[in-house]
Amino acid sequence: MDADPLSVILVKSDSKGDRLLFRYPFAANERAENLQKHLRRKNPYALTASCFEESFTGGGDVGQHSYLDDAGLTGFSDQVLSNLFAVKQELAEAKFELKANDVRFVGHPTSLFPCSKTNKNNNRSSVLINVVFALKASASHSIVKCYYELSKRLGVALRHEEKRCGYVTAEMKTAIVVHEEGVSEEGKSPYEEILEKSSLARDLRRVYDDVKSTGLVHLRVNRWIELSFCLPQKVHHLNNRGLVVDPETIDRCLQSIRPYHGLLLLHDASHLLDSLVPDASPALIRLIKIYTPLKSLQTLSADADLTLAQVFNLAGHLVYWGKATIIYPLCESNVYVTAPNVPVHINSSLVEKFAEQFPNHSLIQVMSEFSFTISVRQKLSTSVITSCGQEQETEVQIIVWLLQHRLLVQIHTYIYYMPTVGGLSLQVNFCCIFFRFNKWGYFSGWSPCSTGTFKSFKFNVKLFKAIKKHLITYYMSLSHKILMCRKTLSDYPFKKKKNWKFYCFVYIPNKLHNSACPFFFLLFQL
Amino acid sequence: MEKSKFFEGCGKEGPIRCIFLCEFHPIAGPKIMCQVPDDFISKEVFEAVSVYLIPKAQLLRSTLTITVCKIKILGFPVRIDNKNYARNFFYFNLCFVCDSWARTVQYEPVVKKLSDYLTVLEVESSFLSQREANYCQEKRLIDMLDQVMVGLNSEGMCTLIEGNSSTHLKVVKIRSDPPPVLDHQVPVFVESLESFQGEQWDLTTQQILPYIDGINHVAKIAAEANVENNLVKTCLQNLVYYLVVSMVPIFQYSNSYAVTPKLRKLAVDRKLQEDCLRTVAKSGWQLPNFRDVFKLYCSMTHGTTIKDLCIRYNPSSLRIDERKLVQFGVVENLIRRINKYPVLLTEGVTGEASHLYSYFTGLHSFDEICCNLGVSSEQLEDTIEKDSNVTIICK
Repeated sequence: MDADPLSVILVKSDSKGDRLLFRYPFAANERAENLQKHLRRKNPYALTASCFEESFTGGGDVGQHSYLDDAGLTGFSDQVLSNLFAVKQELAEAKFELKANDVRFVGHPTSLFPCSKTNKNNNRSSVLINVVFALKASASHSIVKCYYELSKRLGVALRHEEKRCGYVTAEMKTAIVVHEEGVSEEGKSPYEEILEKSSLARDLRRVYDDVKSTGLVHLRVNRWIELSFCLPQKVHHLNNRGLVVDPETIDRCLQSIRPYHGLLLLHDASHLLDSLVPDASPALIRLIKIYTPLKSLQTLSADADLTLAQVFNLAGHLVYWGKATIIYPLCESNVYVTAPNVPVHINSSLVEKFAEQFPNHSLIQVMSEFSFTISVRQKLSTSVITSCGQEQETEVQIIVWLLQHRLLVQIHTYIYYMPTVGGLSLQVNFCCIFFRFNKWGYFSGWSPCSTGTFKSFKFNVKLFKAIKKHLITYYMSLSHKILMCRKTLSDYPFKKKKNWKFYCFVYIPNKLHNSACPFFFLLFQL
Repeated sequence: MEKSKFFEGCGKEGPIRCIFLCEFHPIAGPKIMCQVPDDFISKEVFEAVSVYLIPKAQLLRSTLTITVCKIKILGFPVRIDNKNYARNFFYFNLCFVCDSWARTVQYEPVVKKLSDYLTVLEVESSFLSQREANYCQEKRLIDMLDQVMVGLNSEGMCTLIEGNSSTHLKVVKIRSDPPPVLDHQVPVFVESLESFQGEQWDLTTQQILPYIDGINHVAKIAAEANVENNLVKTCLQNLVYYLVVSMVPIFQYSNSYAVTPKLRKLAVDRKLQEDCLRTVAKSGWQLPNFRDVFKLYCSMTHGTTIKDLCIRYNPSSLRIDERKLVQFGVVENLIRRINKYPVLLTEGVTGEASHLYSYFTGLHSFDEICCNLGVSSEQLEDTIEKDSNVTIICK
């Protein structure tokens, strides 16, 4: 997968020159180099492939050589890497990105000032370190950005530890000693020895392994500075195969999150609580403890005694870390259908996973029941005949499970207002819809109240002003059951009077949520 | 505004801001030979990145892209070994400079080709190395780089002629590979017929072009054009890559479709509405009403077949051709096909449809099975209905 790192490399540059301190994984690289040495030693007169590449061949038909093989990064010697990543001082403290054929390197060169306590010579010359991640060149920009962020965090943590107790200087010395004095045992890689002796090297190995296997890193640099990192592309891919979610997409979705949305945890709440770090936010713990997929975020915020903005932030956080997803609160009137391209077939792992959770049900059978749009109420009523409340409970659990695995999508009803055969005709500058509700606040019908050109509706100016004001306030703040063309309002300012139009796309949910009701009544009372 | 539109990672392609040529000078070390426009790359910036422009021998003949200081430099370092040079080699690198937000992958082959061209010129007539001695050559080099930049930025291509040798440069758009073409899909032209040139395609493609009419599926085209099936698929995939045709599912009255969120665009986009009406009209004389068309699209849901719609609305009386309606919807992505996948519930049983069980894994859709077996979907549905071991998942 593109999101997987190929290698992590630590380079330093100081007054004594640049040096590659550590790289992981190192086995593949060693092998390639040995192989090359071996080839060269075999026959001093023979031309090796690299000689050809280095010399000019005239036709320019030498294909671009690849720096990738099955085992990962290959073809870069330590000297070349340290030369590339020991950047000039001008480029420090900024994003460093280099692409060479099919490999992309990203890092954040950080300059450190050696700790005054341990530095006896009072030598204050700065040291530059660079933690570089090698990725496939095809990795998307957002993946690169995440790795850059990780490199930056590592840099900041190391700078702090250097200032506190001279950690980096000490670790650097350990690595250099191994590189210079050679290994204690014959045939052992110097990097192996460094891994045994240096905790920084072990931390980097852990970062590499964790990102590659889970996409999540929880680490204490020098057993002191907490570092946590999440690669959303990887995490969401592991949750749902084939699904790649960029942080940018998550941000965009979180901007349209509304109070009437709900939260669905992808794993068990107790499991999630256990995995939290000891100093996790108490608000988050409180939210998870009272969590239920049946309630909207607004209700959850009231239950957990948190502000709505705080709940939004926490929900966004959980979504980013691949722990939750945003849904409409589960209720009887919700209508679901199978999601497009769900990976359900006889041999899919989901079938077994489902059977473990619900021994008496078959995923294939359940999915075929959702082949046509079906509301939760209808779904439950089919099982009512056969069994009691417990069966219903299981049915709900099944729906939650299917939603967690993104096998279902919810279907919404949208109403389009088309006053003429040609759709929203240009002659109609103004149209407004009245909604009728029964005494319980349920939607019972709608009718267009006024259509036509603006001039003939002068008496409606007051009405329009009021509606506009309320629509905008409500659009901005809470009731987003009304999906309205905000753009048309801003495009045709009220003052200009000519050629502006105003129409509503109205979404009426099966069950009106409390937050939406005041607005509807307001319109009605006008 | 400018800033919000172009940020790093926006995925847009940008123009070339500067082209420069740098060399490893035998005395002065890494140095800019010439650049267009002048002084785009300052000395400080060049010094900071020179290690990536004149890199160690191991990285020769690699495309190197370095992103620093809000610019992106794309280079291809080349070294020519020859005893005649001061250090027995001549080391140069031709670089394109773009904004840091722009994608530059499409320029990589161009940089490589131009470098190779300059290499040929250098080997044959010392075009680059004799530049200092010969003012005229320096002028020609600057003119050449200028021509490349203007040509590539405005037309996407340019032709260079210098002495006896010439080269053609073209920026080729890089798109992701199209999905494999399947037997039961139908190719539909999406490029307008005026801009389409039949002669520019290979012979096999020309042979199958007359059979692409928006009705024939791939297997039928292969049979009628008398071309091997896999060849047809390869040709069609190529056409899909160049956005000439689009693959849609085969039209049947038993198909069902569902609307996509893009339908919202149809309600407000005048141009799309006009295109839609012109395409779905039964005859050119009188266009259907948009409201009717929209109503038909909105009625497409899970479980509603085209046959149901025809019975309910009688599209021909509304001057709508239902086949064209569906085709336009699929090509414009307003609607998507709901595929039916028969799946076996329990393994190791026998039933009415035992001979077909190998197909019922949930990976093969109705269309695929029907096309492979040469049966109609009605027949298949009947067989499955009689067998209680098989269920159908629609998605």
